[in-house]
This record gives sequence, C-alpha cells and structure tokens, in this order.
Amino acid sequence: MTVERNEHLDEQFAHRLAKQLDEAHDVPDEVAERLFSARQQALAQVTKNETGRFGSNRVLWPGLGVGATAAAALVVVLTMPPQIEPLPLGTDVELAVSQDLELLEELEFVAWMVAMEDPGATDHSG
Amino acid sequence: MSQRSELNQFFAEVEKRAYGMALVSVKNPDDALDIVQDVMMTLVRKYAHKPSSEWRPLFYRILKNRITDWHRSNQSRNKVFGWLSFGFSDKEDKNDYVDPIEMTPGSRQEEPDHQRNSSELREKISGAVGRLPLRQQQAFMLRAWEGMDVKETARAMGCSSGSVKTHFSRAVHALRAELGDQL
Repeated sequence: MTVERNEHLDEQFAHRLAKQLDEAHDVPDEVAERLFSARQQALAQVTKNETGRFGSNRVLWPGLGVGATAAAALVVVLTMPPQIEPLPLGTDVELAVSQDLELLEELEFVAWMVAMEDPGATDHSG
Repeated sequence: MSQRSELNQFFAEVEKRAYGMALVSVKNPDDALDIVQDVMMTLVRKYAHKPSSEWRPLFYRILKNRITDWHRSNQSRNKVFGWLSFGFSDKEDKNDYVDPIEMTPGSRQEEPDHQRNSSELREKISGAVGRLPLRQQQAFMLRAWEGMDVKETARAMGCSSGSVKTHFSRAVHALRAELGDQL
C-alpha cells in the first residue's frame, strides 16, 4: 500500500516537472523550421525506399538476375576471339609419316618402272 | 493514408519533444538537431515498413541510442583533449555552452517578475534533469515527459520493466531532493 502510494506521489511529482519542461521547451521558430527541414529530408527517403521495394519485387529480381547473366554470357561469347581447335599432335605426326612413306614408295616404284623400261638409262648415267 | 503522410504526421507529433529531450541531455542545440534528424532518417530507412503503432517505441529507442552515443563520443573527446590541453582553461567551451532555457523565445529583461521566476524554475528543472545519470534521465523523460507506460519505456530503453521502475524512481527522488520544495 505504502509502495503504491509512493509510486503515485512519484508519478504526480514527475508530471508536474514534465509540464514545466514542456513549457520550457516550446521551440523557437528557427528550430521549428530546422526540424521541419530535417523531417522533409527524412521523408524524401520514403520515396527512395518505395522505389527500392518495387525493385526488390520477388518476381522482378530473379528476372533481372537471369537477364543480367544472359547479357554477360552474350558479351563474353561475342568478344571472344575465334578459337581453332588444334589437332592432336600424335595424329598429325602419324599422318605426315604415313603420307611420306607412301610418296617414297611411289617414287621408288616410278624409278624402278623407268629403269625397267630403259635398262641402258642407268648404264649411261652411271 | 500513404506511408509518407503517416510518417510526416508521426514526426510532426514527436519531433519537438524529441528535440527537447536531446537538448536537455546534450545541452547543445546543433547537436540536438543533428541527433533528431539522424533518428528520423534511421527510422525511415530501417523501420518505415513496420506497423505505425511500433514507430513510437522504435523512434525513442533510436533517440536513446543516439544520445548515449553522443555522450560516449563526448567523453572520449574530452579525455583526449583533456590530455592534450595540458591544463589550459576550458573557458572557451564554457562560453559555447547554451542553456536550453536560453533558447526559449522571449527576452528575460522584458519578462515580469512572476514570469521570470517560472522561467528560472524551468531552467532549474531542465538543469537538474540534464544532470541525472543517463539511464535515469532517459527513464524520466520517456515516462514523465513523453508519457510512455512502463512497458513501452522498457522497450524503448531496451531493458526490463523492473529496471525502468528503478531508474524512474531514483530519478524522481533525486529531482525531489534538488527541487522538491520549489514545486
């Protein structure tokens, strides 16, 4: 009971003080103008936030993400120099060697044919 | 009503008292204005999407945090400059001090005696509240000045209802001890 009464007295005393403080802090016009300006600056953010929230739409964001990725991929593809795929080294050598052998064999064959047709040719030359 | 209009109305309701609270605590009009503006910006940026019924405790919580931050940084600055000044007088700082009551409209010389007396009383009250420990100051201002109940004050101060009661009670006793017979 005493505690409650004390609390009640505290409240009354505090409210008398608060009333005085309220009267003391009736702000001058200059401060009121600056507070108004501060409020307007803060409220200007609401518009920005609303725009931001539209931008953060659950449907819009994934769409933008996919679009950006596709655009980036396209740019990479278009700007990349054309690449000629090199043939495997082993195959190339083997092909060259086999072609050379065939040519040699052909040359030997042609030389043999000539020698057979004109047996004296080798004698004259030799 | 659009969110912007709701926020405008809310700020219009609380800004002057918030400024008064900041001014009592930091005792510098420019800093008090900066604090209130920062609180508004933060509320819009972080909590505008919350239901408007939650704005008030959030607003005062941010205000409490900003005032606490101001005191912390001011203490650090004073420590640093206290060391650097090597005993030079802080007379200049004292001259910069602006008493909150001096900011109220009306010239003291033009006031009749009874007005001057009440003006002096307000000055004493404002000074006494400003000298309270920060937590007591906040509990007193939110409970008595802003008219919040214990639960709302606890939410704004980020502490338990029991703590609010303790801080508030200590604040009132300290103020009564200093000003009691004048009210």
